[in-house]
Amino acid sequence: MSHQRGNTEKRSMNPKRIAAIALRIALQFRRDHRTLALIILAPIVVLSLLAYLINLRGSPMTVGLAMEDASPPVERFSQELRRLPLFNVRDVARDQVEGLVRSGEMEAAVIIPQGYALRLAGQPGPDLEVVVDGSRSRTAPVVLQGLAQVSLRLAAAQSGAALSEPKVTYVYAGPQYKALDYFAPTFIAFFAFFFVYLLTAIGFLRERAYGTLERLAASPLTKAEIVLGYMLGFGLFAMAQAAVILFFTVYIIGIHYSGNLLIVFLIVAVLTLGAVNMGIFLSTFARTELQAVQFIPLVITPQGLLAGIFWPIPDMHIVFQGIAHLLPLTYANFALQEVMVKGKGVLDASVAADLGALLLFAAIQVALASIGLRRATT
Amino acid sequence: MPTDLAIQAKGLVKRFGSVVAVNGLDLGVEPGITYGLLGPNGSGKTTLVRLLLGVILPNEGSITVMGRRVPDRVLRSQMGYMPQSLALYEDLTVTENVSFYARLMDAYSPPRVEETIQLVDMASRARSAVSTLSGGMKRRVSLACALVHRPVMLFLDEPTVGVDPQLRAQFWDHFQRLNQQGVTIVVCTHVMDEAERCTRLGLLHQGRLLAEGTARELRARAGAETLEEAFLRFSSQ
Ligand SMILES: Nc1ncnc2c1ncn2[C@@H]1O[C@H](COP(=O)(O)OP(=O)(O)OP(=O)(O)O)[C@@H](O)[C@H]1O
Ligand SMILES: [Mg+2]
Repeated sequence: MSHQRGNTEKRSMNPKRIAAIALRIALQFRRDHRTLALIILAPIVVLSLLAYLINLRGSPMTVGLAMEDASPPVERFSQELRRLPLFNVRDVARDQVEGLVRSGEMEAAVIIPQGYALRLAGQPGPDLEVVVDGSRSRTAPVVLQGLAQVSLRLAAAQSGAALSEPKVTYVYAGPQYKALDYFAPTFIAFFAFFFVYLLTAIGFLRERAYGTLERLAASPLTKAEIVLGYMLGFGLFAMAQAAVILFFTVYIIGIHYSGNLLIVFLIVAVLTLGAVNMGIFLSTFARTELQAVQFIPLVITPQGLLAGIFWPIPDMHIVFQGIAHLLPLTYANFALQEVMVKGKGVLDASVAADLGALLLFAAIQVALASIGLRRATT
Repeated sequence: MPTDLAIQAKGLVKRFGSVVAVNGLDLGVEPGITYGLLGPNGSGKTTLVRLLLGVILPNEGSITVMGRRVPDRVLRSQMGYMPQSLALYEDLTVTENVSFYARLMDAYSPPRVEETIQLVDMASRARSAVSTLSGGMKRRVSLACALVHRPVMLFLDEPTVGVDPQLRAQFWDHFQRLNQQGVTIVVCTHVMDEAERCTRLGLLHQGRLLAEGTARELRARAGAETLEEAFLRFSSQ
């Protein structure tokens, strides 16, 4: 903690002092049942919600069908449409469509115009018209998927090849199931970072507010010992949390998991090192606990949005891709996905590179935290 | 320059932005005494103590403690500090707090922790969380944390605020015993009867040492009956 001016003996690190801090944090944590429950329950609640939402099929959607072409191919098309479990089809007339959708009586309507049979036969002709209630994001994709399924079935029937039904269903449910597998790694990283940042920032703020930092400053503790002690103390709980998330997602939600647990913990440890130091650094800019919480939208939310958790990074605008590659959560996310979903090891080039990036981020944060510590004590 | 002073400070200046908290201060404290710092709120007592501990660095001047230039890590393990705020972990028990500071100073042993808690008369509440203690009890625990590693030099920033008269007398008896063992004590106080018990006193005013000496000397020099009166006269000069 002191500002060395050369005349002291070499800055050897004292493992006992590091352990003293880690032990103290663990003791404080053990007493704080609410926080303890929170770091375990919060990820479980969020993951359960996500699992539910992602696998959500919903009740069949009421869809209106206005048939203006009554030729046999179109008749077959409409029969297939009625057969889809996704839809609850009601016959309507074109001029009723807008009113019914607007009133919410049906979520969407499909109009089959006169001459659509030509289109079905592969000739130029008018195309289907779809009217959707734009207020629900699921409507349009589900209707379009349904129509695509119908076309697929018809095409299969026409060419004589029997396209098996389960395969067609897979078009709908398949990709979403896979997405869930990617959520577990992502959430281990996100929650580890989030809670370690928050707890360190608040822990440090208290250390300042209650004057205990003053005593630490007057003790032989070095900055490195403080940082390591904090990392060890909070890191242990981050690991426990990672273990719970892993267990929950693998055994309760039932994701596919093929990784090595030790590597998962290694990645979490390196991520935690960065988060502890970021917490220390940012806490020196906050005067109250509320202010430390107010940093969340600034430092945590962008990471949640840009680190490839909900949207794939390659789909983003080039500027946001650049930002994403500056965020530690991006690398933790990549590394954990490689390890957990694909079963890669630490020696795998991409995992090693991600770990390297995380170490670099931690190193930058260590430097910032020691500047912050100096600000806080002088 | 060799010196047998426990603390020697020269030309100390400490500024916080535009505030000059310590303004060209020289100080010498002999070993084994209790040196009292007196002065109104904001006169720079706490700042001076923090400078002597090496918690903050002076803008100008130099400090030597026990022959070593401050800041110095070896010195830190030989100094005890009771800050003006309690500086305790409220969610931990008395024993856990004292043990933590003992470990930091590399001086942990269960008997020593227990003994120190007994010394401040808190043995019956050793297992209570600090948050459940009364204000005076917290002070006692705070003192225990400063004493547990048996420092050679003790810095006490208003140690008896909120402590009852009986225990306050016990505190000061203990400080006297520590002096006899060779421990040097620097104590900030606003309480005049405590000031009377200090070996020497320094009167601080606006970051400067107005006057220095034993209580008797200071009273005589100001031609005052009481220390309080003496202090008021010095400040109005
Ligand atoms: N960390 C700081 N940042 C800015 N100003 C400070 C800081 N610490 C002290 N000061 C200022 O320095 C001056 C001296 O403060 P100090 O705490 O040393 O006084 P004190 O004699 O201990 O007062 P008290 O009897 O109230 O404890 C005050 O004007 C105070 O506002
Ligand atoms: Mg003070």
